[in-house]
Amino acid sequence: MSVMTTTAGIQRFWRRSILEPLTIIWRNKRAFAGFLILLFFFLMATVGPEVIPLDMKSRYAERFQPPSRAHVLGTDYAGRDVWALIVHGSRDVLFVAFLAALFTIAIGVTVGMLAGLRGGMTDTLLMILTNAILTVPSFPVMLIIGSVLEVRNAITFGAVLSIWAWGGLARATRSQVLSLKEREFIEAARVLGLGTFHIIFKELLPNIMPYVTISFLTTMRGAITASVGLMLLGLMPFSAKNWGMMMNMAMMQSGAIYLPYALSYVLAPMGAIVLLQLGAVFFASGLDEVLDPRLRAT
Amino acid sequence: MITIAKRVGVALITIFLIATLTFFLVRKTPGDVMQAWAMDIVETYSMTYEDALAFVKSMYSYDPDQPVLEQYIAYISGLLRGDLGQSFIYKVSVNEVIAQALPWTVFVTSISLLLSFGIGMLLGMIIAWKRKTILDPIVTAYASFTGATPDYVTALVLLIIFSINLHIFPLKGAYDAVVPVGFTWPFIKSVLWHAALPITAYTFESAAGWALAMKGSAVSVLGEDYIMAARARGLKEGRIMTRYMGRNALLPMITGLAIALGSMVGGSVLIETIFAYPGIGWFFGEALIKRDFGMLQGLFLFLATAVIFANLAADLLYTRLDPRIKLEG
Amino acid sequence: MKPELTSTSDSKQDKQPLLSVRDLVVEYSIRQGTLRAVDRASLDVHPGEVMAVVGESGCGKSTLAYSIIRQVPYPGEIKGGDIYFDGREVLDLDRKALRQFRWKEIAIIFQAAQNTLNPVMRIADQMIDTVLDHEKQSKEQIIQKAGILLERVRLDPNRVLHSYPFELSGGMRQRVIIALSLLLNPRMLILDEPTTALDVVTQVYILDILADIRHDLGLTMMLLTHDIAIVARVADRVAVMYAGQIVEEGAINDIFYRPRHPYTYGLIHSAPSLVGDLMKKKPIEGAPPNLLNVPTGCRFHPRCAYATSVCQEKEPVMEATGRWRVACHHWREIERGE
Repeated sequence: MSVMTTTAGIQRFWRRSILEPLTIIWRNKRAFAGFLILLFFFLMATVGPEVIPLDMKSRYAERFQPPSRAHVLGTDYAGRDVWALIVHGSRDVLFVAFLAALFTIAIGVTVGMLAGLRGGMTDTLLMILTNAILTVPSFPVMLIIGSVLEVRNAITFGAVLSIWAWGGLARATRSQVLSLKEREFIEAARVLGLGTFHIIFKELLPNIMPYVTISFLTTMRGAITASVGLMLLGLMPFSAKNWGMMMNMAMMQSGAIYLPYALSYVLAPMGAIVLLQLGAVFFASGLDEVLDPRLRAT
Repeated sequence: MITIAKRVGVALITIFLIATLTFFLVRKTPGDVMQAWAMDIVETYSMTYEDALAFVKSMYSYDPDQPVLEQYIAYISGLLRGDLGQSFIYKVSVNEVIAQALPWTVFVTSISLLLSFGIGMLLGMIIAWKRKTILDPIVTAYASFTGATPDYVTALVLLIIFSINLHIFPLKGAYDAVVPVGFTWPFIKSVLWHAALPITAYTFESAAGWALAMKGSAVSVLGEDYIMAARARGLKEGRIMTRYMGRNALLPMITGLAIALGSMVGGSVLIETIFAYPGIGWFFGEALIKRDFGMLQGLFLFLATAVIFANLAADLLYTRLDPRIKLEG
Repeated sequence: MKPELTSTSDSKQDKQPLLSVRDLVVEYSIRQGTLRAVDRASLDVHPGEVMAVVGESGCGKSTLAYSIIRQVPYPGEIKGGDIYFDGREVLDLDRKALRQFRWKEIAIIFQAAQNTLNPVMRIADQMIDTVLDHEKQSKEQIIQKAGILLERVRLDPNRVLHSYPFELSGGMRQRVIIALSLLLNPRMLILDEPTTALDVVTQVYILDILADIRHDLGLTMMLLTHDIAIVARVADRVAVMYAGQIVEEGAINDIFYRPRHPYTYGLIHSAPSLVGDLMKKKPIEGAPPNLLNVPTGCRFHPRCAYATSVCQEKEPVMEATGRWRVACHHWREIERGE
């Protein structure tokens, strides 16, 4: 029996969580455009650094050059190619955001399940905590944590970005668990001797997939914005190809914003962020349809 | 009555939680920060190292060498007295910093909130009312764009275009240092001029969000039976739009507004830093960069408390405004 | 179920009809296609008369009623026909005239289950709004009149006027809505399932009130319902609708004691009564057709016990005498009771 239900479960999971959403995205123009943009950045982050060389040598004679055939987006304060910087920087940015999203999902789902399954005092306490997380604005918190702790690598950075981000997912998971708990078949299955945790987990996963996916995207977006913001304030370890750091250098240290011809250096990372976020926003609008079947065009 | 007490209780517990969190966070400040500071003082003021270290410790509202529990108690009792701590770099209490910075932040954020809420409400209602206008896709596109653009990007772009290149607006500060403070026109004009770009940055970001929220609320109200019944009664369209749709659609917005009011207090660290506008957010940024943990802690607690109370107020306000909801937990 | 003789329907026929619907066509454009909710329906309602329009859910009676005040819900549209009220063509009224027309000439009482009152306004304010948008009166005048009407529907004005809708029970709300409908002295009331969502006791109460109003004010009423029992209590004439068409129309006695359309026959005899053998009651087999894909010929033929091949091929034409009309190929056999 368990093999059959597992196969059926996997089929259901495949259909509901992967095939259906993909079909919807394909049909929705905005979502598809978003998907393409995200794909572009994904490629940029994974393949880009291998394809486009980055010469970190400083060439002060060539600093702040406007876009030209040699340098598509100009050069930075040390004469380095901006486009190469962006491409190489994308890897860090996206990787950290990815980690942050991963951690957020792990924490959020765990907290939600604990609260929903245990109930009682555990639930109340966890909910007060979740409430605090949701109410208090996350950016100042991350700023403080970032300045107190030493953030040296991507994993720590990702963890810091995820600490205050899991509230929404926890709440959603908890409601799903609670509604599942009340369904009659849980009682029936319990009578048959199957463990509650086991059942709920199997039923829970496909039901919270939409929330998880949305949460993933939202957290990545938030993480990108926050990480760049943190770097903009100079709080993170220095690295010239980091988008936020590029903006920091441009704004605060090198005076690039005051030079009209250095504009491409200033605008490039900003444009990259905006484009990436736009892609995420468009893609997410397609996810709206996945979550709420009433919105679907068919 | 009981539920009000319950909600207030939860709010207080949350604040307490945040305070505790902050306490333990700040305690984690690397010891070398304190040592570095002490060394700094030794060089600048030629104190002995022990004196310098003692001075540094006194800047924290507790003595780091004492057992944790005593420190904690000292900290909490300080909080209950309204003592938010000391700023290390400015050598004044955090309360004084807040007193100076808060008016500027509130000035800018309140005007922005007014503008973006007002514009948003109007746009949202119009879009919902007339089913197919060109406004709808425009506003939706605008909302996507501003949703994708982080606030610091907007601020930077505005700064670059309007301050640096076009020289219309000033680069920094709340007002021209040259102008004497007072209720004179030159001063007021200077203040307004300096506030223009920050206000634009805030408003630009949030107006579309309000519009879409209002649209969503209005659309769901328009689907209700009483709107159709109102039309069947031959009521004027204008009256239906305001008293029948508007009132009902606005209700859910009130909570969002109250919460936004609470967040007003903190301002945006990045926007204020970019415009060098001396509000709470700017001081927060300074505290971060200069490792002023006393001020960091105090400002953050102030921020968090404001937001938590705003949420509480929003909860209670909504129950009073909607005659249908009775305070029954 | 013996219908009460509420009036002599014959004499009413001589006067000019107050409401005259001719060949009305209403269509809904939905994703799957065009749905014709009302298909060339014609109807006359004479002054002082109570006309009941009966039919199953989805037969088009609500759409028909809403068309009269030109409030067909989106995405529906009136595509053809005429509607004359007191001689004027309603479909020609401009927006301002239409707004005045609504409620002042015809008021509509919606189904009790719907929340037709603004939940965040007091009853008194909603009454005032209704009047002020039609005529100029002082608030005191309006409140006074509202008070009288509320008493007429057996409510206490002091209690009700300052309340919000949610503070009143379902039956009370329905009575408020009835009072509201009389504020501008309309000539006609349309009642859409006025008692369906209420319990039986309240139903009778409401019907009682309606009978009183009708008697005192001489109102003309069009009553939409699927409940035969109510029809028996209050109606003078009955129009039977099926799948967007009117299949039979006549005086109450004719409809009840001499139905000529198989559907009417089925409706009458499927309603349980306190007398008589429940076992003999037979429901009508089958279900109403999908309006996107109506049966050929007579729309009722798939469910009809009397159907023959002609019923499948040709749509029956409406045949009429002075007092009744019916659209069926075999009405004569049904009349003879076969």
